[in-house]
Amino acid sequence: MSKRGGRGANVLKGANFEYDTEIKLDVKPELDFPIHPDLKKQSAPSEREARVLRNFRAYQSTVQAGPIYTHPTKRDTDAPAKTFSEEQFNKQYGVNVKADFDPFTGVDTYSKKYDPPKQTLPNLKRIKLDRKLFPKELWDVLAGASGDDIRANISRAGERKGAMIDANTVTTNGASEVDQKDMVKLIDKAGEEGEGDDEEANSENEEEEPQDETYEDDEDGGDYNAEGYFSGGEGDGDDGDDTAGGDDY
Amino acid sequence: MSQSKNAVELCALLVDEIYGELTSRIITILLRRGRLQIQPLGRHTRLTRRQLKHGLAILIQQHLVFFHETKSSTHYEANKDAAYNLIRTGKVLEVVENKFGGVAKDLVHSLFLMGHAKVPDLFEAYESGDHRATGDFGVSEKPATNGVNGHTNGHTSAHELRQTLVKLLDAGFIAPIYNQMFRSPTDLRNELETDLQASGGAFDGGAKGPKKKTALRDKLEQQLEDMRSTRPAWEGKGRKRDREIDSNGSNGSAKRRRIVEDGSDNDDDLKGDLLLNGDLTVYLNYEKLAVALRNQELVALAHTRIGDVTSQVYDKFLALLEPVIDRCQEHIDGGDGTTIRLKSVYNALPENVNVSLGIGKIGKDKIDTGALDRPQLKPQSEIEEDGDDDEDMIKDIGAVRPSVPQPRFIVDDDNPHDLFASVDEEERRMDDLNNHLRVLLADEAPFLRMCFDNEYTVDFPELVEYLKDKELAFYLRECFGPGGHRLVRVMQKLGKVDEKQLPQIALMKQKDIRTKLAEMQMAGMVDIQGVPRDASHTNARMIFLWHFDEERVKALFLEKIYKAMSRHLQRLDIVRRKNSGIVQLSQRSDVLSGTVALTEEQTNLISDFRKTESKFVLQISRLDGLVAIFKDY
Repeated sequence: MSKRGGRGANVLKGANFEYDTEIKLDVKPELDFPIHPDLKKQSAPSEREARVLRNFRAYQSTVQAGPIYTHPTKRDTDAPAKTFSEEQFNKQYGVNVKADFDPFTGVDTYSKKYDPPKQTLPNLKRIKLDRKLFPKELWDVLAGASGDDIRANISRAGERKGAMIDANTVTTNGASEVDQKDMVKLIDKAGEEGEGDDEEANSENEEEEPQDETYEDDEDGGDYNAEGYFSGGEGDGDDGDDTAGGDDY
Repeated sequence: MSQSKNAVELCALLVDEIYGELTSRIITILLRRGRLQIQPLGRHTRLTRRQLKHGLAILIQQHLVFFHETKSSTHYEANKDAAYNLIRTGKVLEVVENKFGGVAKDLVHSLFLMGHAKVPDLFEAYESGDHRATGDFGVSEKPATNGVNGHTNGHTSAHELRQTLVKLLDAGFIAPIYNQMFRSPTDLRNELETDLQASGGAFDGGAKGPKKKTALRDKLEQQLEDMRSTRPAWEGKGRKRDREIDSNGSNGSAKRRRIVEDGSDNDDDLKGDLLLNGDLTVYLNYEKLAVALRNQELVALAHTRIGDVTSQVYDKFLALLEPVIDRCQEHIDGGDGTTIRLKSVYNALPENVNVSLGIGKIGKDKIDTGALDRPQLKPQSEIEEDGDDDEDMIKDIGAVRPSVPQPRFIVDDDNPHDLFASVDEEERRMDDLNNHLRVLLADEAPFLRMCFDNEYTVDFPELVEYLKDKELAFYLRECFGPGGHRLVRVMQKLGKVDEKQLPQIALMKQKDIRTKLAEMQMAGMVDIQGVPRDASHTNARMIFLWHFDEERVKALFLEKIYKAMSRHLQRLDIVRRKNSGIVQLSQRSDVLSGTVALTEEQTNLISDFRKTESKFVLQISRLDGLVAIFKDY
């Protein structure tokens, strides 16, 4: 430190800069978000407002615990809220369990079974809907006959997985002969493709598949379903509290 | 609500806040892009067909999306107002609880969850106890002052439930669904137009020429209005005025008074039971709920401007008027519109309101009440005023005596001995009540208007205009100081004002005025217009006129509020993420069931977070109060 003072004296002739150990600068680095000069404190809620708050909160928590709430699937929760295009807006959502798997916190622990279940699709089975009041093209997802068809389809996909492990199940699951042949073909294929099974189940029901989404298979996939060992396969592995914690250190 | 960027952002955030991500993503695209079919919707949202269908089903169930189905295609369109109304959930529940008690609140809560529902399903949902979740905000859990709240935890009998529902249906808060409610207003209009043109007659082959176009538009308006009135009305709605009035006063004495012309209670129940057994599907009628919220706001205004007792009187008055108003911003004709007689207010007012309080006592000769006794058939805005002298005189009114003797007999089936109560007592009470109404009449805010002798009505448009002006003035004062506010008032009064004249009129320094005006122009509050005095167009030979465009400023203000609300929600999300660890811990099933106890530190953290969260929600709900004044009332 004293070296700096000396250097100053050397550079400027006649001027003698002594390093002042007592000096206290009253300059602070400027804040990124300076404090508002005239900020007023929020007044406390009146009795009525307190009731309003409580009601709102009660409604919110009931919805969140209920069948119609869908949990956030943002990949990067710290990304800025502002987006500039539809593409960018859409990109921030959607989770591919395998690709976005976090090896540090993603592994299920025993206590995960206490976590509230996370749903990415509303559970229409649990609410009563009058299908007369909906457009026809939505009828197949509403509870009812056609909705059950889709359910059956999904469970068949699960069964196929089981079939790959144990060939005996093919004969016992009561499928028609045509189905059996298909199944055998599938098993042959499965040998080559390995994990490609999920996508196939999807393409059976949907003509358009813009994004590789995980399927909501709440049906039990036999003992092969290692992914959902604790949580039924729903967890996206991102607990939320593992935000890229680098900035704390 | 205009299709502004801020409004869209806010609606998307609100849906996200309540119903979660999937629905929010769909409604964001629908709000940005307008009407869409399911294929383009999938393209823009990058969601699978299955996700879309699930999301849309929920959105339609919650009335957040309109749909329009033709033979070949189905279009979806976002319902902005419904999305915005999500923020009012808490207020609506509060108003219902205040009026009809805890059971009604829980019933409405269940209906909120279900969107619309058949009555038996609604009862089932109520029984299953969806509503029993408690809001664990950091606010003290005090029951409502109403005294009826005790029901919430006990069992509610089926009969009581039915009765409550009938009450809600009678009040119009809950209404049977109707066909057109799932279609957007534009679709409905277009459909009617094609129908009109197809049906031949005057509009066969399309409307050509301005005259025919106007005729077509009028006809359409007429038909839309007709449609509104031909909605499947709840049966009990026939007798609108002077219906049963519950007098749950402030101390909770649930004594029931009724007015002579009303039918008996049993009759109501019987009819209700018959109807509720059927396939009645009901939804929450926000239009009517907004009326109740507006009344609440107005009573609060009366409370701050005048006083407690007078505001209670005003509350009863508005409650009497409420059954005839189906929605805010409905055009009510002055004069021949609904009026309320002094006697009705008297009958409706619960015993425990001591009307003798809250009014000053001055001798009759000290004040001039001449102006107040003059009935006014039309709203103020429709009359050319001859001068403000009268108003100035009546401002300091204390007590006045009615000039017309009042009828003395009231019928009260609960307390027949009231008939023999001392005449003096009743006359005094009636006098006092009349005085309260006159205080309301004389106030600067146009609370009441006397149409005939002792018949009063409320000019809501003017009253709301007053509220708007008040809020805007407050905002300008806060942002630009008293100087800025003064300049605006000058411009409001005089219109366009020359810059050179302003110092004399506003009694401010030229320099201050210029800085202030420039500052306000940057904020978009005032604007300037230059008029050249000759062809040279030099600055020296120019007249600069400043003006204040109220409508524009109001629109700007509304946008600012939307933006502020969005920012609050986004900030709340950040706070949530910061505390996500502790929040998740508090939601674990073993913690909730009490098998694992949290440490003191953890409990503190949670309660801190809840406090912060409630601050945000409180602020948003206060901002919503402003939006309501500027947009909805």
